[in-house]
Order: sequence, then structure tokens, then C-alpha cells
Amino acid sequence: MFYTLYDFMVYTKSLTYILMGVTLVLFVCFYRFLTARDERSGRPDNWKELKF
Amino acid sequence: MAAEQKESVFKYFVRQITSLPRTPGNIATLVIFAFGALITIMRFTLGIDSVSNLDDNNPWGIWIGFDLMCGVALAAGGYTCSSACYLLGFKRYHSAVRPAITTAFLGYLFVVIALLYDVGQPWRLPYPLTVSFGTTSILFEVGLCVGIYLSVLFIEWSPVAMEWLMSIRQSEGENAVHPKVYKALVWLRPYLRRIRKIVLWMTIPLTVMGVILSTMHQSSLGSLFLIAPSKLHPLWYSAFLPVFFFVSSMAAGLSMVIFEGTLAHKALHHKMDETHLAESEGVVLGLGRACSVILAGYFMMKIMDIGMDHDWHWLFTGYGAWFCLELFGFVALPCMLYAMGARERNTCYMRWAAALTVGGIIMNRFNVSMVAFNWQLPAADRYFPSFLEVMLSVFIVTCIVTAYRFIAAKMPMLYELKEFKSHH
Amino acid sequence: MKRRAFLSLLTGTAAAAAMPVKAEAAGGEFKGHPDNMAVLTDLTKCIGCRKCETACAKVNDLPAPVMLEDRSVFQEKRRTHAEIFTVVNEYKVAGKDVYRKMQCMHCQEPACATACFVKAFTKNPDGSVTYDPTLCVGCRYCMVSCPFNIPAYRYSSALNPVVRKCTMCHPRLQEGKLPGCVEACPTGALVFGKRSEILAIARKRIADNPGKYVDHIYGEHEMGGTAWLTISGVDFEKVGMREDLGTKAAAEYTTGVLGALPMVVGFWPIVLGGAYYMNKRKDEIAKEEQEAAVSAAVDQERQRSEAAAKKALDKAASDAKKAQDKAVEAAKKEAREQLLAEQAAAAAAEKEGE
Repeated sequence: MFYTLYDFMVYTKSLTYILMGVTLVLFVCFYRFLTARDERSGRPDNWKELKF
Repeated sequence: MAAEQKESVFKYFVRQITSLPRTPGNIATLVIFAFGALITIMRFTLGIDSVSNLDDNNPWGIWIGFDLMCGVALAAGGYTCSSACYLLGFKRYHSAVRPAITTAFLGYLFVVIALLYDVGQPWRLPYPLTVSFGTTSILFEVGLCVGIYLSVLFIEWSPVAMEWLMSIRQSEGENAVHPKVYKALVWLRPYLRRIRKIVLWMTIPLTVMGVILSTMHQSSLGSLFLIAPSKLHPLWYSAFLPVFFFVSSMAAGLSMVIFEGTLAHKALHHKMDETHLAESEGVVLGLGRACSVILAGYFMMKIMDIGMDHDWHWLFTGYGAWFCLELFGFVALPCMLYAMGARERNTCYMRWAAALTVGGIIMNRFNVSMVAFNWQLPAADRYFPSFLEVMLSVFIVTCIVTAYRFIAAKMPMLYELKEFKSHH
Repeated sequence: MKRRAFLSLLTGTAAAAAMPVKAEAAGGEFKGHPDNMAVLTDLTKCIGCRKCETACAKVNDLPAPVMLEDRSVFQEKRRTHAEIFTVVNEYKVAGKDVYRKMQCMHCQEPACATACFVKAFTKNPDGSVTYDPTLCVGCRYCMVSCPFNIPAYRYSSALNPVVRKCTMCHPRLQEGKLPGCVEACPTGALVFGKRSEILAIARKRIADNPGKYVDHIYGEHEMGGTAWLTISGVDFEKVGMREDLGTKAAAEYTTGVLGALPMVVGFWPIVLGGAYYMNKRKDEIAKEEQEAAVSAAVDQERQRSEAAAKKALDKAASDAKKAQDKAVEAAKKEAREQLLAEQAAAAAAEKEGE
């Protein structure tokens, strides 16, 4: 039970900062996932130029 | 076979310093360093009040108003230039990125060092991140972001130092590198090569992090004053202080890049490679054009803010005149100079505009933190810095300039080493 | 370049939009701890004896204040200091002397607690706002944020400078005693009790004595409410108590901005990632177009040079043919001339023979 706005803010802002950190870490992972080269996704970047 | 006196590594480094030429600049630097040493001793033996005019009514003076606020705002060239080049794709600013990142890194590093003097118990500075998290405080956010951003800047800047260390070659005679030092450098080379590669591969995410972190802490420096509406003059107090600080930091950063580039061209022309020299005109024109748009937007935002709070009548007071000087002389005027420079492709206008903008940002940060702050206190209770207080700030700036001179002279900042040519 | 201005405007709009509303809702719901105590100061009863200052110094181990008999101390307005937690100032209002005691207001939503980035300030359940000197880093942001200008700093200490202010005698409250100043007050100008009861007492006094008091309890709502409440016979402004502070707690001014920041962390990667990929795509298209243009130019060049070569060959062939024809013609002509010459010679020889 939060008696003061201060108590409320300490709790919610602490949680928010943690989530912000998680967001940044996940963003980096997501960026790496998006730009993965052929060792990972199997499809090379220059697939258009390859002739079949 | 000459009998070589085995000089110790320590003596070697001391000799590097004592053998510097006795130019007026170096002598002045030495004098200021002496003051710095004196103030450091006094601060940590006699207390803050022995070296400053801070008191109970004015807890923040120029160490916060100038060293922290102006330092951070003027170091904004780092995130603006690198995002322009790497995120928005303006390749023609590439040669300006390394000097901008160097300035930013040195700026933030010495902001932290200046805080070591201002803060009462600097050894407790890690407390907010380790012992007790005061998450309701804007200062918590400033501290967290400045700390992380300093690390990001260090990583972004490190290739400059690594390339230098990797490219040091042994020579003969007076300028020979100490054998032990050289051995260590050779041993380091493969590790530096690998680390450098990783760092360069991280450029894009680091740049994005830089923009995010900079947005947060540049605006938060303004937000610091939101908590004291009763102490800040209505013309400067606004719910949009964070937006003002962030937008003006972009103009400040870009203008500093132009301003420093102007100074560097005069003093360090011989250190600049062809690319740098060829691109420099384009850099000034492009950044200047961006600045004109930013300053125009900033000007209108300030005008609209006065309207929203219905503060027009304040313009007709003494403080109002000062506000108009800041807004018209140091925002509107450089905006027009930048615009004229862009239209006529005249870099001379832009260099003047850059100086005015930098002055305007310093004036704005001074106003918010010291001039318009506590405006209601009687004159006898107002703050003015003491001589030693000013000398400490001078010392901090001198440290930055000296470090910059060293880096510019020795490291690949204004030029690219052939073996490390970039291909971004 | 317009992109940059657009982006910055977007950020501004986002920040502005996130700011005002939530705070209002948040501020109102919090009623404070039910056991919060408060002190009522009745300015009509204060005679400026300053016994409260002496008691405060005694309780907190501070140097004794200026002697009580020395009335010259009232010639200037004093404020709290590193070694002075409370002061009584004298104000001349309509010819009469009015005295006001100044000390920490122990706000319901303390600005100092909100500002402190190491949580060195605590609003205790008994209503007092206390400070923990073992956590303090010395940033002095609490001093910037306090609207009443109360916290003082021990600047003279090099290695242990700390913030100094009234504690509402929190340790004494734990022992069930009264705050030092309240106990020492001889006229009953200071009354201590539960905040709700103190407010009731104040309202009753004002209601029972129409005209004696200004109809306002200072501290009931100022800056979100304080534990130190004041009723006065004269305008509060005249005794140095600001009436322009508003009722918004300090925390409400910052909660909006702190809320906008996480949005930046979520928003910027979208915009910057988008800008980066747009540019990468633009570069790719430019590269493809350039390659197409180059190969088209190469083809065109090849065709042109082939055509030119063919033309040259044809011309050479026709020139050769012309030359050949000419030679044939010349040869024919020569042959004919020779034949004619031979015929002429033969005719001449025949004529000679007759």
C-alpha cells in the first residue's frame, strides 16, 4: 500500500528503469537477429546475384 | 658501442613531458595546472567553502552551471555527427566524426572529474547505482545516462587510441621509444587489432545508443529545474525545459564541431589529411544548414512557450531584456547567419554563427542555473563565483584542451592511417 | 536536413504529450500515513522569546543560539544554517511586531526526498522527514528543490560535509516525547498532535475567532501539504511565507518527465533504425541504378564502337572497291590506249608497206 506519491514513484520508476535496460539489451539482440548473415539464417546476403 | 644508460620507464615518461617546448601556450598550461593542484589540495583539506562562494541559498554555482551543464551541451557534437554520418547516411561528414567523438569523450570525462570537486563526498558517487537507487530523482537519471554514455563514448573513441598504439614504430636516438614500452606495445598489437575490429562492427548500435542516451540526459539536465518552479524566473521556467535543453544541445554540438574545426584549421592544419581538408568546407555548410533549421525551431518553441504560460508582460522587465538578448542576439541572429551562409554557400557567416550559438548555449545554461535561478532573492543573497572557483573551471577546460592537443598531434584523429582506412 | 528538425519536433511532441495528465491523478490518491503527526504554529501567540531555538540547539547538540536577551538579532532576517536548525524572525506588520519560526516543514510529499538520488530522505510514518548522512553523496539537489529554502550544508567540512536540517525530533518522537521546540514554548504557540487533529484544532480556532486569523491554514495544501501548519493574524506574505507555491507536490512536476524517458528508449530505436534502413535501402537502390547505368553505358558504348567499326570496315571495303574499280578502269583505259596505239602502229606499218 502506497501512502505517499513518493513511495509510489520509488516503486514504479525502479521497475521502469529495469524495463528500460531490458529494452536496450533486447534491442541489440533484435538488431543482430535482423542483420544475421548466412551462417545463421542460411540465406546469404547476395542471393539476388546468384544464378540458378 | 655506446654505453647505454638504462633509463627507467618512469624517467622516460617524465622526460617526454620535460622535453616539451617552452611555448607561451605550454607555460600558461603549466601555470593553470599549478592552480589546479592548489585548488585540489585546498578543496580536500579545507572544504568546499575555501575555494568557492557556494552557500545555503545557492548550492549550485559555476561548477554545475558551466562545467556540468555547458560541458555536456557542448559535447553534443558526438552524437549528432555520428548519427548524421552513420544513421542518416551523410557520408560527407565522415571526417568530422572522429574529432567530434574525441571532443565529446573528453568533455564528458572532465564533467565527471569536475563533479569530483563539486560533490560533497565524491567517493560515494557510485552509491546511486550500487547502494541506494533514488529512482524518483532526475539526477539519478542524469548520473546513470552520463555514466553509461561516457562508457559508450570511450568505446566509440577507442579505435583512435588503438590505431595509434598499433602504429607506433621504433626509431633511433632521442625519440626512441623505451624498449620495455615498445615491447609491451608489440605484445598488445594482436589484441588491439581484434578489439578494434569488434568495436568498428558495433558502430551502428553504439551510435543508436548514443542518440538514445544523449536525448535522455541532455533533456534531463533541463528537467532538473522542473522541481523548483518557485525559484526559476517564469521566462526561463517551462514544462518544456527538457525539450529546450535537448534541441539546443543539438545546435550546440553541431556549432562546436564547426567552431573547433575553425580553431583546428588554424592551429593543426598540418595534421589534416586530404580527405579531411577536402570535406571540411562541405561539413561546415551542411552542419550549418542543419543548425539554422534547429535554431529556427528552437526560437519558435520558446516564443510559443511564452504564449502558453501568458508570460508576455515579463518581457518588459530587466530580466525580460536579458531574455530578449539571449533569444534574439544568440538564437535568432545565428539562425539567420547560418541561413544566409547556407543560401550563399558562405562558410564565413557560418563560423561567426557557430561562435554566437556556442555563446548562446553557455548563456542559456548560465541563465537557467544561476542568473534566473533564485531571481527573487535580495541582491545581497545572490551568487557570484570566487576567483578560485573560476580557476578550477579554467583548469578543467585547460585539461580538455591539452588532452585534445595531444590526441590531435599523435593520434589518427584529423587524418587516417593508410593501414586503417575506413570503408563504412 | 528537414528530417532532423522533424525528428526533434516529434520528440518534443512525444515528451509534451506524456507529461501533464497522469501526475494530477497520481497526486490526489495518496493520503499519507494515517499516523502522521503535525505541529500547529499560532503566530498570534508567538512572542519571539526564542526559547525554541535554545531547546533545539540543546536537543541536537548544536552551539547555543545568540543570547535570548539580545534583541539585536532581529535586525536582520536569518535563515537556517549548518548549525542552526530553526530561527525566529521578527516582522513589522502594520506597526506591530509579528514573529515567525522557520524550520523544515516536513512536507507530506517532500521535494528533498524526490530530488535525492540516493534516497537519503525518508518521510517516516510519524510525519517527520529525516536524513541519512551515511548515504548522502553531497550533490545538494535537495537544497535546490526545497521551495522553503530549508536544508543547509556543512561546506566547511572537507571529508564529511552533510545536509543539516530539523528532524522534528524524530528520535524523541520514538520515545514518546514531544519535539524540543514544542516542549519549550511558554505561550503554547506550538501544538503537537496527529495531523488530522491539528487541522481540526486550526479550523476551530479560526472559526471561533472571526477576524483574528487569516482564513487559511498554511501548509494544509501548499506543495501537496506539510506537517508544519501555521495560522496567522496577518497575511502570510508579510511574514515571509510565500503564497505563490501552489498545491502541486514537487514530485508531480517531475513524474511526467520521468515517464516520457522510457518512451524515448522505445521510440528512438524505431525512428533511428528506420532512418538507418531507409538510408541503406537508398544506398542499395542508388548502387543498383548506378550499376544498371554503367552496364547500359557499356553496352551503348560497345554498340557504338561496333557500329563505328562496321562503318569503317564498310568504308574501307567500299574505298577498296572504288580503288579497285578505278584501277580496273585505269587498266582498261591503258589497255585500250595500248590497243589503239598498237592499231595505229599496225596501220602505219601497213601504209609503209605499200
